[in-house]
Amino acid sequence: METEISKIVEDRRFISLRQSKTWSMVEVNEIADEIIGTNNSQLSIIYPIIITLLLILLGGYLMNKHSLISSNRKSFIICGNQGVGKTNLHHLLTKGKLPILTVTTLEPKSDNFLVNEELKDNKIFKDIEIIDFPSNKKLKNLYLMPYFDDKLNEIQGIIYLIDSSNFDSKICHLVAEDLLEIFTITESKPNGIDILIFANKDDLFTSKKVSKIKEMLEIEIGKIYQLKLHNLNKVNNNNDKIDDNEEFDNLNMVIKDGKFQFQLLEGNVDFQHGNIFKDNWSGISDWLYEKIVN
Amino acid sequence: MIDQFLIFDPSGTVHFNHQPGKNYSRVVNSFINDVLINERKMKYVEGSEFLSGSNKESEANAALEAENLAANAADDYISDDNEELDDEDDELDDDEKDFDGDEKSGSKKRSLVRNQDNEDILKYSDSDVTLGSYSFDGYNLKYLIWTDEKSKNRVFFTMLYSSLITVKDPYPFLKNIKILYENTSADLDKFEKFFNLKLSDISTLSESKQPEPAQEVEIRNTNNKDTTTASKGKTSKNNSNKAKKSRKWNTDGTFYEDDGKDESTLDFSSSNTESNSKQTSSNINQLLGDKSTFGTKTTDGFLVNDLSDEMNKIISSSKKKTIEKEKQSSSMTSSAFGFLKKYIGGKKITKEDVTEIKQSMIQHLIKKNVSPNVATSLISEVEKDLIGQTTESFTSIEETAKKSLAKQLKKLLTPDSSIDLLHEIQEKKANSQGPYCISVVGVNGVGKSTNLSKLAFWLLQNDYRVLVAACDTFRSGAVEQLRTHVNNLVQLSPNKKQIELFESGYGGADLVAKIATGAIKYAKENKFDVVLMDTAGRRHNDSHLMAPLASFAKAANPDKIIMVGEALVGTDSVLQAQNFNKAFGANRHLDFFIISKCDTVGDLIGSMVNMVFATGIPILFVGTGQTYTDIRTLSVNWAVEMLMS
Repeated sequence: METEISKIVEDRRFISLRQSKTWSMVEVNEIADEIIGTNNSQLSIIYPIIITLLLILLGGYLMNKHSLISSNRKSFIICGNQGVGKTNLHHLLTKGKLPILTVTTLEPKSDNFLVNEELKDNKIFKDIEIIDFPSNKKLKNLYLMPYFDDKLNEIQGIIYLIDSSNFDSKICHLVAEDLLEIFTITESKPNGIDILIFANKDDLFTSKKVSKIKEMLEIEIGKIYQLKLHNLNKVNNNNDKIDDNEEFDNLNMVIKDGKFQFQLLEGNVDFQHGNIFKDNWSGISDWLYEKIVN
Repeated sequence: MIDQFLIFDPSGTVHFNHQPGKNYSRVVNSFINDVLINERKMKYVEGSEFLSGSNKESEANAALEAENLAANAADDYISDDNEELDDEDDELDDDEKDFDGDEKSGSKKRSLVRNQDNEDILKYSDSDVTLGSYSFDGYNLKYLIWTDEKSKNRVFFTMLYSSLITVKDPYPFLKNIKILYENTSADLDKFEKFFNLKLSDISTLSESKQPEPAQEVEIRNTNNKDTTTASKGKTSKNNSNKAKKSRKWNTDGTFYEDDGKDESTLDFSSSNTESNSKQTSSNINQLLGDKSTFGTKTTDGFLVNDLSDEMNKIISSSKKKTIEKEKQSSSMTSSAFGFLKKYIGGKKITKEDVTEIKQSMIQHLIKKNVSPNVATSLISEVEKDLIGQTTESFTSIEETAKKSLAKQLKKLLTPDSSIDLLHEIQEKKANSQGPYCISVVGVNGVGKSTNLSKLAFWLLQNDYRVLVAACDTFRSGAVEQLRTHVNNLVQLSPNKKQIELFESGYGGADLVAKIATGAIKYAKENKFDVVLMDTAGRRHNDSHLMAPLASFAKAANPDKIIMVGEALVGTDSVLQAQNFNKAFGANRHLDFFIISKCDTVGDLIGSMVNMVFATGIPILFVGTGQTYTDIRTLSVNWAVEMLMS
């Protein structure tokens, strides 16, 4: 990655150098035409240098602003409620082993995906980022939402973790709200973004079946969507009355007869279950490989 | 005994976990949530003596007093009232602690120990580490936050123990662990050995202290002795204190009785005149002296001795290093082309750079109607964030600072948990648990009744049946005003029976609670979904007016208590929010704010920042005009944009 960047930077510099030379020659000629008889030897040295410097600066600035080179990067996002095992999963996917213990995440962490030995040399499997975002509401607004705004095109998929051993109606409401928020963003992209909803800790006594979870979520999301439509608008700068709830426009198609269904979303939503703490998470890795290849 | 010791980074990964018993990560998690994410430390412009310390309660009180002195210097009786109020609150807080384990009540506990603690924090604080303490659910947690010079990553050291025991000198211990970790983080096994060595020291000390809490001060002094005094103490104590046995704890949790070889820890009588001048390093030396005897006693004695020597070396060498570093940083000059970095980025931000722009940033915030205290506190957070950072390419320090400030504001204004009123009302209605009660409080003339009727209009639009209760029995014309609103709303609503007014005239404070309970009863009987209770406006620093709020909250027990604050008010908003938040007694606080009259201030919406900063309670709605439809939910991005413009 870094060598690539430096190569491109070098190339650009080289091009800009050449360009600047040709330009400067034209300019110098013009000046020479205008002021006949003066000694141009000094000018012909100074101008190219100044213009070259300017071009290099401009090139650097553009590259910084538009990140032209980073477009081939793919990233996967891990989100979900607090205490479902996001950081643990991140470690599994990037380092291959579970950490000693995890506590509440404060800052997002991104690392490269640890690819199977056999597939390591395949070009498709390079530059794949897995990002673990904190779930706290404040931190989500601080990190995850700006990330969605900036890098929506880089996001290849979202892994949403759910603790199926602790999934009552209250948690269901929180998860549904969270998912609805994510859908409003992901559905704004043509074809959407694929989401894997992974029911973690599925082997415990209190665990709910993944099909049951899906059913509960669909009902809850439908309910919340209806309520959101009736909610007050957000305050904005231009005080004119804009049509209601533009932010939920993306989801109009998804609600059929007042009922929400995952399969109506543009992006594919898959449900898997397992327990990442007990080495039962092949659902996630299979899904990841599938999404990377496609 | 330490129940758990964790070293973790911001990504939530624990690098080191010492856990003799159960896993207490819920305590650590709540610490992260309360302290690392939500804590807002108020720094006061006047009265710098309140600057330090983590005791929020005393800070809040100090705020009241300091602010009162500044604002109402002439009004003596007001500050008296305030003190009264404070005392009440202290009692209430104590009650709260007993009732509500979920609250971070422990942190409000005021005691001698805590004062001592604050002094300790001050004493051991350093430029690159932050110390502090926190307590939750019967556990004390001491923490140390260290910013790694090289990687710029923060590392958190937390030490957890039951609040029943007192661990002596937790901060030097944390600092030593930090130094050890800094030097051996590559080799965790080695670190663990070091850690266990250090741990057995602190365990011994805390254990021996248990039976004689009154002797605390003496023990503290003893501990400060260097090796020579320790050995002196040993010889003298052998004669006088034979009966006492100290319990020594091995790393694996077993213990044995140590008879007379280790009395230095129990030495309360020997004179310690020279001890106070000695720093922590001497403390360590003394402890290591103990360890050598310990080492020879156990089977792996030589190993332990070697390790302790090495550990000692690391600690002392790192002390030298820090001194050198300080010298270096003071004499360091920028390189030849350093000035260019200011413009093209990649510059490392130093304290001097920040001080330059600090004042202008504070001024910017104050111009936006943010109170000076809040502005200073916010900027000091920004400063902490900035120092040591390197600017991105083609961004100046000013831009980086602005970004950081925007980040702080965003974090502050985003609510911690989402409030979905419609969902909650729906839930309560579906479970037929009676009407959903919302009461509105605030200072006189901020627009309580107006915003109440705006809310009523919105609820009517959503087909809820609304009962408006006129609990303002104080101001003449208050009931009539509400009746006008209700009549208007009846005209506007599709179903004429959707909204009604509940009133019973004017009267004293006891009538308010009566009306509130009466209204709820009436609403239950007549199947109303929502009860909106209007209260009398009251001055926040008058305890005679504020006291009835507690009994009102108790009688009516509303699902949501909303404070209406106006965007027009400036510095006073801090106190308004704080006092109203406290007025409802134990277990009850405001649920959210409505900020009214936002259309009148343009982008000077600093009052919002003041109120949220002072209380940590989110803003849900903003009033943006005169008509019933001029109420909006707050958009954090919008607010931050306004504040930064």
